[in-house]
This record gives sequence, C-alpha cells and structure tokens, in this order.
Amino acid sequence: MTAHKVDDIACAHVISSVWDYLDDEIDADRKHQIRRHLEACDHCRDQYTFEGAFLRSVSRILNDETDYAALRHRVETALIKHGFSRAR
Amino acid sequence: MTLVDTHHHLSEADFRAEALRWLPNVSRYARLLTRDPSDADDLTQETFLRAYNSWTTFRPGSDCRKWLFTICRHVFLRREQREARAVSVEDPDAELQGTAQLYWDAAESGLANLFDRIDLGPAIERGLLGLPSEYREVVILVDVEDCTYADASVALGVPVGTVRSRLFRARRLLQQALVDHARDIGLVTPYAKRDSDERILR
Repeated sequence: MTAHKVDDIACAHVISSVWDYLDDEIDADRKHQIRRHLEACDHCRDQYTFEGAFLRSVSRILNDETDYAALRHRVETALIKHGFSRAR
Repeated sequence: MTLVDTHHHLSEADFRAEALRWLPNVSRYARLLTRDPSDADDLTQETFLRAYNSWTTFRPGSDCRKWLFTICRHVFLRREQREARAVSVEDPDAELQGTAQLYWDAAESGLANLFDRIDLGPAIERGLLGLPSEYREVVILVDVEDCTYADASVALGVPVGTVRSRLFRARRLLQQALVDHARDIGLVTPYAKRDSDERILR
C-alpha cells in the first residue's frame, strides 16, 4: 500500500467501509474522508473501482427486460376470481 | 363484494396503480427466492392475492414495494415450512481480509476488469442462485431493488447489522464464484507477481 493514511483515515478503514460507501450508507463526514482518500490512494481506488463495477454488473444483469404481460394477466385473472374488477 | 365497496380510501384503482406496478420487482424477487420460474410465478400470484386481501391494512403513502416484498417472503417461508434461520455474524476482521484478498487475487490474475464484461449474465445468475437463501434475498433487495439497509431490514425482519453482514458476505461469495468462473473459462492472464507486502492491509 502506498498510502497508509490519507486525511487521517487508513486504507484498512477505507476498504472496510467500501460497501457502505458505495451503498451510500455512511454519514457525510465519513463519506468526504473516504472520497479524499480514494483520490489520493491508487490501491484503494483500484479496489473501489472493482467493487463498484461488480455492483453495477449485478444490478444490470438482474434488472432484466423480461416481458411480464403474461404473468400480469395470470395474476389479474386470479384477482378477479377473488372479487377484483376487470380493468376498464 | 369488492374492496372498493367497503374501503373508500383504498380502492381497486389504488391497488392497480400502487401494487400491481411492482409485479416485475416481486417476480424477480420470487424467482430468486424459489430458484424456479414456475414456482416463482405461483409465489408472485399468491403474493398479490394476499396483498389484495390485506389491501385495507396498507398505509397510503408508505412503501408499497417493501410491503409486497415482506408478504412475498412470508408466503415463501411458510411454503417452505421453515423458519428464518439465524445466520452468524461474520468476523469483521476476517471479512475485511477476505474482501481485500479476493480483489488482490483477481487483480493478480488479470481479472481486475472482470465485472466490466457484458457476458457475465448467466454466471451472475448461477452464482446468485447458488447462494444460501439468507444471502440471496439480501442481494436482490439491496443490489437489484435498490433498497436501503433499513428498508431491507424491515422486509427481512432482521436488524440492520444483520443485513449488512449478510450482504457483504453474499457479495464476496458471489464475486468468488465469478472469479472462479472466469478462471474456468480461461480468462486468466499470466500471473503478475506483486510484492507480498502490498497485500497486507494497514
């Protein structure tokens, strides 16, 4: 590791917070500290890039373009049997 | 008698607008819970039937998607006739080291850009379906459905800390499966030796 501490925050702390950072689950001060560290530390930034690409990949792949018309029809048919009105 | 006859504040039109629009999201969640397309459709249908029958208990203005996920999960667990199992909280130090180690292993194998590849879809689905359900469901809620840790905590009925530990563990397991897959199909480039000191987190 070339940057052990940047802005009073250690690499280990950055890596341990990288998921919280990517998920926007940390407070503003901590977020600012981590952002500054990532700007200065190549190693942590590389790992941050790796983890971010992973999350985008999972989100993109699983948010598919499946056509849900048939399933919606099936669900609405079942609902109608339980008193739901047909769509007007 | 339909709901609209008895409960003026929550009509069928509201159900159609507020609940049915989340059908794709519920279906995806159901598919990942059941790991079977046919079972997933059954679970999705049952979820909406229960939601419809309970529609008067839904608080207008609250998060309908989260409410549906909670119903879906309860139906699933009841169908499976199993109780939510307690999953041990990971050792934070071990998890940190594991996360760092996985990245370094991937980088050394020339796989630092692995997740930028567009052909990982089937491998991601397989990896996700291979996770224990406790891990699988938290990934779909947070990583696919964009729930906050707090929202996932409500949907799963577990503390936020448990959501966090399960999520981090799940991601690491999924990443490991993808790295293994990349190695299996020969994506690995020649080993680039690093100074071992660089691999120690400080």
